[in-house]
Amino acid sequence: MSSIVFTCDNCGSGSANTAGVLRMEYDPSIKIIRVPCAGRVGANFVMEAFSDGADAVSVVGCCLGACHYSGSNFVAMRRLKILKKLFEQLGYEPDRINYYTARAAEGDTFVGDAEDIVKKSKSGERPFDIILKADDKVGGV
Amino acid sequence: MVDEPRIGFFICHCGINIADKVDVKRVVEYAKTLPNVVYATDNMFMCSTAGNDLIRDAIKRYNLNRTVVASCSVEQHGPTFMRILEEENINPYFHEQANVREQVSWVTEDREEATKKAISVVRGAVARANNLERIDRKRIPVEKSALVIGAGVAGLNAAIDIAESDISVHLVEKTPSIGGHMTMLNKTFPTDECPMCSISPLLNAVNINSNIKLHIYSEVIDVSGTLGEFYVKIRKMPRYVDEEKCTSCGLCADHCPVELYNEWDRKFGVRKAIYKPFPQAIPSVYTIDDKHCIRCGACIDVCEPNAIDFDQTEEIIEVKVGSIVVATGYDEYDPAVIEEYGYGEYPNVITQLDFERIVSPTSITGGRILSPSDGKIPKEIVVIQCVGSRDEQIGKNPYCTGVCCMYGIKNAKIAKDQIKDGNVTMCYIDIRSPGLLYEEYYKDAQERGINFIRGKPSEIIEDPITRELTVKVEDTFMGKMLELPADLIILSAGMVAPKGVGRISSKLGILRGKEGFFKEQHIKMAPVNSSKAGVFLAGTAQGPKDITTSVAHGKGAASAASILLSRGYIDKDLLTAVVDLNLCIGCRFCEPACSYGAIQMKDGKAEVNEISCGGCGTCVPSCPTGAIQIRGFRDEQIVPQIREVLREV
Amino acid sequence: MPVFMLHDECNGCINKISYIEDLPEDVALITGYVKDEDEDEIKKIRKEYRSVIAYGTCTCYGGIFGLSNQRKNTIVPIRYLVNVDREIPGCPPQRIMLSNQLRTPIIALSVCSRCDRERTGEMPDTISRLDSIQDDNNTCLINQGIICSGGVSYSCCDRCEQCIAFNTPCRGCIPRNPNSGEFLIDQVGSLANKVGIDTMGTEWTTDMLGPEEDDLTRAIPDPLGTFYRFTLASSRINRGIKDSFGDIYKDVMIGRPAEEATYIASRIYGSCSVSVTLNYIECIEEIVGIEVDDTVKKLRGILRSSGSEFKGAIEKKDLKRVLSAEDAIRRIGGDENLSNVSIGGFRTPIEGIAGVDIEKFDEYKMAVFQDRCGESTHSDGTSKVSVSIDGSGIIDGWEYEIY
Repeated sequence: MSSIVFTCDNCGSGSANTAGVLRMEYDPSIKIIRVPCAGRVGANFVMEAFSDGADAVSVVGCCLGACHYSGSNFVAMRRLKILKKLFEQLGYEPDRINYYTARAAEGDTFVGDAEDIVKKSKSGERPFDIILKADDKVGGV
Repeated sequence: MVDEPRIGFFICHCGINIADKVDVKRVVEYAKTLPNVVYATDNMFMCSTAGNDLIRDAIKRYNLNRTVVASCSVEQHGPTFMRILEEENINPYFHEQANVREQVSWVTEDREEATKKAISVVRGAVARANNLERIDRKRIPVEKSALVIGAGVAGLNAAIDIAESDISVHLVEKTPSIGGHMTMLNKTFPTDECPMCSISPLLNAVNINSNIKLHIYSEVIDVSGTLGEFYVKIRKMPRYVDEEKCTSCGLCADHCPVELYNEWDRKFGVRKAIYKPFPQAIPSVYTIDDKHCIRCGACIDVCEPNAIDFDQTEEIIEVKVGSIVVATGYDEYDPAVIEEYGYGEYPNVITQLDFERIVSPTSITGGRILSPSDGKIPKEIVVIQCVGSRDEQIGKNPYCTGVCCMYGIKNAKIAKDQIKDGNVTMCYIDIRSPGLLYEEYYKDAQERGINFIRGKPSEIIEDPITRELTVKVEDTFMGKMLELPADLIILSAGMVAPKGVGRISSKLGILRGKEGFFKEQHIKMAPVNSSKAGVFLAGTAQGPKDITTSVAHGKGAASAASILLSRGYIDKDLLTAVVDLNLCIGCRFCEPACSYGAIQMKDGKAEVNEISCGGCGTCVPSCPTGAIQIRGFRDEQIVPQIREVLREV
Repeated sequence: MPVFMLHDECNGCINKISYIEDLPEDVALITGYVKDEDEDEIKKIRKEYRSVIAYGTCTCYGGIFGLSNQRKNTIVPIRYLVNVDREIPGCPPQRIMLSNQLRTPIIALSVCSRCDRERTGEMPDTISRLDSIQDDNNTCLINQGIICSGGVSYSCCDRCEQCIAFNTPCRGCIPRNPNSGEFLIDQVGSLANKVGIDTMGTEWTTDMLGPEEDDLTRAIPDPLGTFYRFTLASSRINRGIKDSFGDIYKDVMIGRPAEEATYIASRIYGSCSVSVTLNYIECIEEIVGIEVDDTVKKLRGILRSSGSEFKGAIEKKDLKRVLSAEDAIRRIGGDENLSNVSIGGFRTPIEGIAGVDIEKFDEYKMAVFQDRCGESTHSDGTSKVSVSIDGSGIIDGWEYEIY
């Protein structure tokens, strides 16, 4: 059981680290991967994570209006919303993809996000249970 | 040309912080099995000299060209380990940090789970390490000039210090005069000095300093660019008085027919539509309040130097600066929301700032303490502390400002000194008087006969016939309910973030904390840095503090702002976007994705301005061919990390 | 040259091959989509022939038929089953690609490099469904907010784009990449920054993505069909888990937006495309209440008879008649995929046909979906089509019969 959480350098990693400093506990199935900004996350990361066995993929970024790079978190949300709709069309569980906001000084926002992710990673159908012999490299033809 | 990776893996025990939950020996053994890891070991404290030497020796002995350290967060010790690589002539970005403390050992209870999670984090870090690249450092010239927003005591100190470092300063202040709240005060604790006397030399110094350009009665309306190259638009509002010609004789105000409550005097005094906010205002010129001026022309008639000019319009000035200091100050909390205290309803219930404008020598009473309702000398004075502070309820603030106790005591003492036959009572929850001379100040107040009652008043009642006020409070030491008659009640209302600060925050792109003040980068180690590079915080803009601390904070911000500019250049690590021209098809979809405007078209293909690029990576997914990538966070570097983190052990 | 087609619903590709002479005997050509279950048969072909060529996007990537995987079908790109020596994508590939380029490498050029429209470098104000706003025929479609797959596709012919030349967005029939859907989602998502999305607050955090329908999901009601039109079978998320309807055409068509189905039906019904597409268009016009004028009806009549001539010529294997019928179809339909044919009329002016008034064509390209759901049936001498659409203009029922 593993869920990938992409955290942005600022609020995402900040709140995850604050949760650590305050010794708040959350489920170890949460695996954090750092990106400079939520806007860096694209569909290829989400699909890569699911095809490698993730149960849920989420992005934790800055609050809307507080993105350090001024607005890139909004862009990430739109890409993820399209993916959620795609999942729905195929019968997979759209709740397994999400975008959460967090505040760097507050550990409890991250822990709340983590709990929600763990809950949702058990719902509905997970894509890629049928893993085919895909040998496609990222970006390659 | 990249060499074959030779990775050294080091895991830190961090005392028991990591080793308590993560089986570090097992992680070391596991790491040895990962691709290109040629050396793996553990140490009690990797950040110590011994730990650092361990890395140095391993680099030399095993010819390492990359390091992975599993330890605390990269914010904490990333630079420590990167420096070691630099000293060994390896590009510092060949270091990868795996966070197994804040994100593993400190948040996972079960030892087996923590170890397994640490292993997956390490696997991901090694996968990234195998794909790291050189990041070069570029020398960028910076604009050797700074912007200071706000001319209160912190902003003024910041401006002077920066100017004295031979860096030009644009000082912007939105009220008609510099000086801020300090000019409104009567005395300052703990020495009971006159604040106008303390600050006057500073006001004059700022006024005459050739390196400081004053933009008074002006506002910052737009900020763009980055550290070293900020483009700022300042709107100067028209005074309708020519600053060069006005001699400050005051005849215009004498003849102006429009009278208003003077906001600077907390509405006790009056001013005219043409006014100077206070006698020692700098610049020493008059201003016409356009909202209330009726354009009767009386001032024009009496102005000998012909300084009145109704043709003035607002001016927009554009400046380029290298760094910005935000010193926008605070507002006093408005206790009107606490209806049981009747502020705004009962004229004899005032705040501490209101009191300053009664007892100050330049006040409408000439410094005599009089009850606002009837102008008589109050004999029963009650001071209430913690009004609106230390309270989780809605409309109030949970924090303690740390200054109200001291200025509450100060004004209680002043009142007691002036009204010898009066009774001064202070209702408090705790008295906070930290630091040298402060506890002594409190003791002195007790010795002068001020009654200290430990209890928070529940309400202030007005007798319907006599209109006299009574303060109901429980003396928690005696266990008795008291009803104190009061001719004057002074509320110690705390400090809050000033109105309009949200707009500045979004123009500058810096974060505010949930209390509303600007958020510092690190509460202990970086109190003057904002959340954005090149923008610094000075004074109460960052949080409640007294004047001493504000001055120190402002000087700290000045130092930080100047250091950046002192060399005339900064070195930027190029963790920026880069375009593969073979893949770029010139569709231009990356341009709007960049919030810095760092992408332009050149010869039909995309080109990135490395100085403006902030390295966020939002452009990367917007490219349909994968032509644009971010150095250090390329698809080839992150995707293997995802794969390895998820692989079952 | 032996040609193998394991599933023969659509003969769009094989029609091209049947009349090419002069190809070697030891080279096998496989066309039409392949499924997981075909593995043994494909492997047998691989063993028997020196060289195997995959012809058509369906074989190489799964193609539009791959969209049926949304309902538990098992279409796969042929390279999942065997290695092939050459893949020639296209829907259908240009004839010339086969005879000339059997030996020479195919040079891939991006669609954007072929497209003449102006790229503004700006974000569109909103994303719109095809034909719900007026195209200015000059600016890049994405800058206007209409989704075009050009960025993630290779151009399919030498002269000008099959689709773009007729003011239709590129459909993406030659993908750059088997995972091109992911690239397109990211590209469109980035440019959709002005489109409203639903967010919600919770007890622990200020915002998270909301589950509700919002402007974004209304603007892109069918991400599957829009982004994975030709590549669902070859992408990482290559199948869904909803139950099949038992007919591959139904599995493909249901869930598609009404305005897109025109361009899907015209590609997968092979030599019956003209008839099915026109019948479908007439169904939609009836449901939504669009009246076309006599000129359009006349042109459709000519198109229909060219279509049935084409079908007859294919059956009789009369090459000369096939070529002339194809030309006739192209005169009105734009290309063999009928890119010029649209609900309400035609996308670009048609000239050179007696009695045609070219000025009326832009009138109908507006707001087809006005919350009208319903169903309708139309037929002609070649086929019969019944379709029903729901309140948001998505096909929820599809029946067809080929006579």
